[in-house]
Amino acid sequence: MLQDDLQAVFRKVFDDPALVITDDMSAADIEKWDSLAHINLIVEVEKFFGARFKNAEMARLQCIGDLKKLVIKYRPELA
Amino acid sequence: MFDRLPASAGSVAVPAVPLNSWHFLLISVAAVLLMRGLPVGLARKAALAAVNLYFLSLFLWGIYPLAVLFALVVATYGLGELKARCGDRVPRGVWTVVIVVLWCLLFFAKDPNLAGSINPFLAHPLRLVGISYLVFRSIHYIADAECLEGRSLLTFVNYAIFFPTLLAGPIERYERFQVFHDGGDPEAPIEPLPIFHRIANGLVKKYVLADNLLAWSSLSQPPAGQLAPAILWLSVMSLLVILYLDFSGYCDIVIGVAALMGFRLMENFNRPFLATSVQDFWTRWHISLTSIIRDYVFTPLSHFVVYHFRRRWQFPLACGVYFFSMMLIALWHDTTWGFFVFGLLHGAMLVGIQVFRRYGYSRLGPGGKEFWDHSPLVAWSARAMNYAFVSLTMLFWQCGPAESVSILGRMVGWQP
Repeated sequence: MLQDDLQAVFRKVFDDPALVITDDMSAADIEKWDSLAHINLIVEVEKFFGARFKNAEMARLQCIGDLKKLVIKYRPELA
Repeated sequence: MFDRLPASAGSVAVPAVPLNSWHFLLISVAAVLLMRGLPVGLARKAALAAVNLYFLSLFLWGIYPLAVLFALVVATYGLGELKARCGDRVPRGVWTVVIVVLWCLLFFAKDPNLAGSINPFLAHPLRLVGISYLVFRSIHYIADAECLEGRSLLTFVNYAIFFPTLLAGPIERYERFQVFHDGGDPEAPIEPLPIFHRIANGLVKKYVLADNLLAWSSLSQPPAGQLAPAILWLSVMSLLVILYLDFSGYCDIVIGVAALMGFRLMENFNRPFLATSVQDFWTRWHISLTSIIRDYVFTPLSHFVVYHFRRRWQFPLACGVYFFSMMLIALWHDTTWGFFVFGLLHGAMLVGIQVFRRYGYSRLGPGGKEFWDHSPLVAWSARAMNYAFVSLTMLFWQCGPAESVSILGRMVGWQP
């Protein structure tokens, strides 16, 4: 469920209906994932899951797996 | 670098301890022996503090800078603890104000004449080496306090005044430093021979190549207006390489010394001459600085924009954030008209890149996108143009706006 929801957010932000995400993917793996796209992604994830990340938490995201863990931190029921 | 090239953050005209001096060598040897010889524990940390404080004392002029440094360290650690323990009970805006105050402190301390009588350092200029790097570490520590593990006053003091990075970085992050400071090294054991090789490379790059090339390529002797256009082109196009040799050479030395001590510092350069755009360049050049700007200026500001503004305002405001971030990077180097123009040009280019990506790139057909993204011709042309752009814009802070325009005119054969 979390994987599917997160993938839907990624597909919306990067405008790629065929995008498939994995936990070890990062900005280097998606061509349009630059600094601004990263912020758009974070805000979309926050709004979708009803969370508000701290700046320190956003700065520590290295891959999609880290993003998942952060979402679970705010929405433990999704674990 | 500190006495020849334009002023960079923290450089002051004090009796220096050059990295190629016997004094620095003795300090480094002592630090390496202590860090490698003492068991992990309080004695090792205290010994590091002693070495750090000794090195710092070589650059302190009087009680005033010491008092400011002490206040900054204590205030940062105290605020960090407060934020970590009860940050949720304090409105976010309070911490934003604290960070803004630190930014103001940074610029006011670096330029006592900035903002006239508002500047508290106007009447009492502060001569404190590496002040901006100290403030950056403070900003990082306070902003991230609640996520930092292993917080302690001694660790923070050693982090703030770590002698290899005191003068000009890299601006390491607290959690990485804390891991090595507390004796943990989760990565492979450090091999000494490659480290010695790296230090030797750094010494050659900085004190053999950069120093001699800089003397040769100086655009002030004789006045640049008397130099032939070909010589001007050669001088201007060599500035970036010389600066890279100087700064990366410094980084090689300090990263190497830290590695011998058991500390793996972050890299500051990642093949910057392969950058295909200004945006790409600033992710490869002085990485520790640009990552600080990204994490503590660009990210929170653009997050605010995207979160609070309607979609049609998000893009232009985000471009404004890009521009502001670039101006901050430029003016951090020095608050001169030369750096102001440098920031304007790089900021405009950054905005232009965003506009192209949004409105231009999307109009390329599949074949066009494939060509743009993967053609070696496009890539190498972009690298050459980016190198030329950065080199030419460097001229403005090397020679000032007026003389730079004159030099540029002479380079293209225009004579007033």
